[in-house]
Amino acid sequence: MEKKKLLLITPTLLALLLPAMLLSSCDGSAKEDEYDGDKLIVSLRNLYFDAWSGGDNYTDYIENNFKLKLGLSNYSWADWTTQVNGAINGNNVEDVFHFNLDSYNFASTYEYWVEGEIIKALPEDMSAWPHIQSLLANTSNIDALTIDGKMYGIPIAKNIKNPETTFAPFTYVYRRDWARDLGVYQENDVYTWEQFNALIHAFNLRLQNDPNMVAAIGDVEWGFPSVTNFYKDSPHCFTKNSSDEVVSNFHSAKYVEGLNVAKDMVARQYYYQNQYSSKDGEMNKRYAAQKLGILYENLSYTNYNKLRTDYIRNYPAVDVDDATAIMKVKGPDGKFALEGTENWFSMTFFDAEISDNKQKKVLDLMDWLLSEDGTRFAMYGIEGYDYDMINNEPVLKDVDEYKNKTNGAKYLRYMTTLGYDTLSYDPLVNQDSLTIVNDWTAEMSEARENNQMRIFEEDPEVRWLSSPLKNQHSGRMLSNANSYVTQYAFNNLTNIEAYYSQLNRDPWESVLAEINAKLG
Amino acid sequence: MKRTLEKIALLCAAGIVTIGISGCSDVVDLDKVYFTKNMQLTSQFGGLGVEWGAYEDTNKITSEAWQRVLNHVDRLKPAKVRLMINYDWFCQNFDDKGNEDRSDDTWTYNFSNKWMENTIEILTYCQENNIQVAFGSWNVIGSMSDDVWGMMEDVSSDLRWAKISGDVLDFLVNKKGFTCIRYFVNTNEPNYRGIQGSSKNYNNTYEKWEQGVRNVRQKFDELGLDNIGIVGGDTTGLAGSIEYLSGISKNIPTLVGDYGVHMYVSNYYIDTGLLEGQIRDIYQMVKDNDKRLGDSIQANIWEAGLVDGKNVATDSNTLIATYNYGLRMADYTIQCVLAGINSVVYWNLDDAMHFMYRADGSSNPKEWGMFSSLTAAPANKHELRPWYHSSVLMTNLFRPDDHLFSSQTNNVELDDTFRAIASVSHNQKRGGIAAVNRGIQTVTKTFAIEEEISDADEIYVYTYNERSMRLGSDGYIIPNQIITGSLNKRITVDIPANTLLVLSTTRL
Repeated sequence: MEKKKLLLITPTLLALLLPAMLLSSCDGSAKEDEYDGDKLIVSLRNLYFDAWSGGDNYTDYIENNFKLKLGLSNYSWADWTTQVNGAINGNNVEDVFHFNLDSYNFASTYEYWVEGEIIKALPEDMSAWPHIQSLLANTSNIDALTIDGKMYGIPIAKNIKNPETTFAPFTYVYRRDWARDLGVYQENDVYTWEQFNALIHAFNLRLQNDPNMVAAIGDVEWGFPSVTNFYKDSPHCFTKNSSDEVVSNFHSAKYVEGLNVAKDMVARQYYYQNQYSSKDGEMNKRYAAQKLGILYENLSYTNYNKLRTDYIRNYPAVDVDDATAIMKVKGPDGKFALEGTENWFSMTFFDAEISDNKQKKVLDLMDWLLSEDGTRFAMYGIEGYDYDMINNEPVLKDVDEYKNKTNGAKYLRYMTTLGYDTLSYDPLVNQDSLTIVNDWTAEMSEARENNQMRIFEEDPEVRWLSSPLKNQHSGRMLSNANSYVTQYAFNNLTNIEAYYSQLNRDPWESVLAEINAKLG
Repeated sequence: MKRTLEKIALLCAAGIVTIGISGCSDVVDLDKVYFTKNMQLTSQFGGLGVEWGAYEDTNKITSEAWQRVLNHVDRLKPAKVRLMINYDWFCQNFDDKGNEDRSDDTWTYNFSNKWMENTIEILTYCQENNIQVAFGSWNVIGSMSDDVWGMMEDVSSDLRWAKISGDVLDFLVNKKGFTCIRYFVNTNEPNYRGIQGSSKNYNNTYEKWEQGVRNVRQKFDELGLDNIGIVGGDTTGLAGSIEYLSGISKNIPTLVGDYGVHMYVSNYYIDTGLLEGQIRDIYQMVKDNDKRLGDSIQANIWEAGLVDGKNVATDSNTLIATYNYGLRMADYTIQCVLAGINSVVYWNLDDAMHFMYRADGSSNPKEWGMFSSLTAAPANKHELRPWYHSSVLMTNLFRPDDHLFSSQTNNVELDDTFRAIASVSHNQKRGGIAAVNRGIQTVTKTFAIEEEISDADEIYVYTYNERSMRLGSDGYIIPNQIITGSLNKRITVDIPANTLLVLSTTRL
């Protein structure tokens, strides 16, 4: 049994305690600043810290220079929301934490946390942190995240150098080599709707001679049914009709038309028949195992490179470019169709109970990591040891050795940016993969400029609207609707009336009425 | 193809060269690496060792593979072994009597299982080969999902911890006769609290750990286990160990057997020679509190490894099979010794010992070893990795009770690319030098040891780098050259870039 110890305050002890006491928070915050020597202890938790636990010399450098002692932890993707909410509810949230904020959980998290004084606002004057200030200024729909003129977190920018990207890389990767063999390949991987259907049909026939194949096409678990992209106006719950009235996307004629196309493809067994029960990551693995001819996936650089890396490792005899070609499909309207997106993903938050001093010091670190010096440190390490400056460009001394190092600065940078800005010169990035992704992005951007692309997205004024019934019900409505879509496509709901009937179990009418009333 | 051997020039003198101190001159000739008597680091070196066992699943290795393990350990000749178990493997039939009083809790022990069988096998080897063993349990008992013991709040200060520790050590030492156990580990890395809900250590504090030490020491004394010292800390990271080392050296210096830490170091600190200074600062901090340090109590590294290349998800090191890993571990060892460390125990011997288990039921071996004896491992992983061979050179050269020497050339301000230490055995019958050239050019150095090594007229030259390392038909390292001469006389050697050079008066 522990005994309570009496602390005898001696002059010596007082001399030791006094500086720490003086350095403690004086702004009334509940969490007192604690120090490890002269370093302020701060706990950081981020989804992307999974491969790093500190202890490297780069983290030491940061700790020494910013006088911070970093306590690091991460989330698992599958349990991210539970882990954040659990920490908040248990009153043991980290000083700086990371959450997958989106429009569907905005009210139950961000707004709720602001109201409950769980998260700390950024300082009103951010001029001391010009790089963060610039990041915020370029954040899409930043007004939606502002409450009473204050920002309560940092939206994590996808690309601070190119914030204008407006579409997500959710698209098709396919077996170009199979398409060539079957005589259905189209130049530059561009397919009209008819040609796309012909390709799927040809892959379905191929299945009969390839015992390893399971289906012509599969969608990533969250993306089914991808073919509705070519019909619907919105990715999720809400869209607008011709009278500019907010209506249910899932009830709309356009959506249902696309849904029936998906149902037909399922009936023809073009789609993987266990699509509906696939767990996270399984469809990707099937494509990587040559079981699918086409995969709809988020082709971020990371995901796309992994796909290519898996092919190179597992099937060295297969031409990886042909095995992982990005297919460009035009819908029935003759246009490409891609989902619109914010230029940020997820947010970094500060616990409301930390001191202004602690927040300031963390902002100092974040801002430096976004600066030229900090970015170079995160990408290349230490000048003279890891790299030399040659013709004003950093050149790694030993790329193979550097690849296996853990540079904590790179991970810390994920607190403010996903780092797409550095991909082109990050020595650890596979430039072949990146080039393909970038070429696709450029081609799609050009198509958008030439009115050859349709971007479908929820109107931002609807997406970020906060109203009581919408806040209360829309998350569940979305989840339920996705279930009914899958059930209908796979014939568990055998007709469209049954589909509507299921949808109507949720309060669409009242939610929409409230939204339209609020928007006037 | 016959390997090209490095040129070695031997300057012969009529007698043993007397190496004088440079006197009033402050200029150090970096090409003359003389190990003078006044540069002695220690007269009682503790030797080098390795983490060995216990194996979590001996079903995964064959008896033939186990014999190979023993052969490899024979060759490695560790002076120390750290052997860790889980008390969960042995404690059964827990009964808390339905009350909160822990003093009346009961349980039984099952020492007749594969884990104890393996533990005894390893301890038998250590006993027969005069190897000192640090022994302990990784954590307190209990599972995260069903913690019937309730030991995770008080951790090692829980009074049942001392009882179990006493019972287990009583069994192994007093009943089975394993007097080779000389250190007890009072939980692994007590300062690393981990993540709440995943770590048994999350609620630990220094105060609890210190109380645990007091309890265990009392229990050991009651059982006559006076010859077992408690590792003073077993904490991880230099900076992370300060709280414990400071507390131990102030509060319970006479209750511990040493000051022990784990260090996984970035390449940067080793490559630049900065590691030595970092260790020295903390060593001095402890010595300021406990003047006995370096004399009647020593500082040891109980887990030594490199952090670059670490894969957090699999808890393996992707660089473990590279030559540079061996070179850096040798450099790491040299810097530790220069800073006052008395023993370094390498992490670890065999990939087959520990596994990383995941929530989805999958697992992987933690690949930090000098080889893998796993049946399921691909053949190339069964081979001895380069750092096994460099470790053989170091462990065989620097033996317990050796006198170790530094040189004035070991000065990171003057030259951060070259470091060297020398040893002379206590009976002055054998000796040697280990030197690392971390620069990008070949360097020419003249070595000599002032302390006499008698009856030693051959020098075995080992050059460890990717091009030059030589292996015999048995797969173990052999000298690149054997020359006639004495290390008490000047010997000049060209040392290629990125090389560990070992000169020994005996075959290692």
